[in-house]
Amino acid sequence: MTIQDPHPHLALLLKQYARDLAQSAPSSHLDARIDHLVAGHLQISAPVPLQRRRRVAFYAAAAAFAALAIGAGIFIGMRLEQSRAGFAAAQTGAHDTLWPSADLTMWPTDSVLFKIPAEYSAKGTLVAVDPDSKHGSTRYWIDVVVSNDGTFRIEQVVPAYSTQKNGGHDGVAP
Amino acid sequence: MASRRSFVGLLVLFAALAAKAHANDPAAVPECPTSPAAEQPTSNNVRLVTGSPYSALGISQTVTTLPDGHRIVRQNTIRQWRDSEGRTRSEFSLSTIGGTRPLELNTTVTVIDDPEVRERYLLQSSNKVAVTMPIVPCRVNAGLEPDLSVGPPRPAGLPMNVTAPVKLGQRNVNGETAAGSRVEATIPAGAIGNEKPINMSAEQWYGKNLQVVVEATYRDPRTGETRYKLSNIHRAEPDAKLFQVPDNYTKRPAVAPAPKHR
Repeated sequence: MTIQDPHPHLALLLKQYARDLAQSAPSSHLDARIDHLVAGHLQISAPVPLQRRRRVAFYAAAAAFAALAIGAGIFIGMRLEQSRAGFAAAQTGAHDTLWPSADLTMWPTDSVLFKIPAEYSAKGTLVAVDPDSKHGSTRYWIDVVVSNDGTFRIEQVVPAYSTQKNGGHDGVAP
Repeated sequence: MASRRSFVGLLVLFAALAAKAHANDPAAVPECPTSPAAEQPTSNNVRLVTGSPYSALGISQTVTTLPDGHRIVRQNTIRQWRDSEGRTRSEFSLSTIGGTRPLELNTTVTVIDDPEVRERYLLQSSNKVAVTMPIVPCRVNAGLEPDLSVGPPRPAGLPMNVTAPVKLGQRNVNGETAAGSRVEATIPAGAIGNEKPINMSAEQWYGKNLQVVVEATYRDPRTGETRYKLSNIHRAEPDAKLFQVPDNYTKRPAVAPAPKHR
């Protein structure tokens, strides 16, 4: 859209604006000020090269991962230790009736506890038998403790049928 | 990219090594309980003694004298080996184990303890089976002999008065400096129908260098006198094969007995 005949008042204002615009001139310091501002901005926030930024981020992440991994490693090691101890404690719980503390001769000692199948002989003595042999008479499981301090002792004598009901055995055949 | 992968791989490896190092750290091996009163006993506890290899023969002889003067002599032997790593092998040749009901065994039982893998192997030669069971290695103060605090073996629940251990000083036993301890125990009169108190004693001489019992005497009028002595002591490193389960054996985990109902 073009204005063919502007309002006389408006035409007057336009002539004055044209005159002022023709008389105006840029400041002699303007370019220097702009250059100074631009240079200062560059100095304050000079962009870090992208490759360098990536490298710093990678090593920061790696350091954090290393700390996490070492912590996890120690944690896993401790859990392994605890699980072994826990398993041993569970085993101990199963054995405690066979190994009352009051029966130890020396503590700590180097002892082994094992079960031996036995039957009474014609002489009336307990004799160890092959666990796979057929029963000649009533069979017993003998809990025996042998130690490197020269002690050998019978911990308890249990009828074989009750042991089978209680979960089996690890007999030592003669 | 390849260097980054290897860097991450190294980190993972380092973490795994950190976990393993903690599990195998000597400091991670706990100290053995000093007495059964201080801690519930664990039959899985195995004393770990490293850097002191030996092999020896232990002979235990029990003499029971009957009221008519007859003597019954029973003998059991233990062949022992230990390497520098603390692995042990014991071969128990058992004839008869005494007691109120003596048990005739006439068998040899071989036991290998490997603290590194925390396993005990009980070798059954009859069927070529190695029964495995977990063990918990523990360390003892090498400068201290074990606390002989409980006394002679006795049936559970039997009332017994046990004296505090008496130190017997040191003496040389087969070239080994040994420290002696002695305890005495008494079953009060009437406890098992006995008219008079029954007096028992246990005396042990503990090799300070070997860290094993090198001599012991146990006296119990019910079963007789048992004398134990370690001889043929050699300090050379034993053959590593002694501590390995033979190839023709099958490993089988021990069956834990079910807890009893009380």
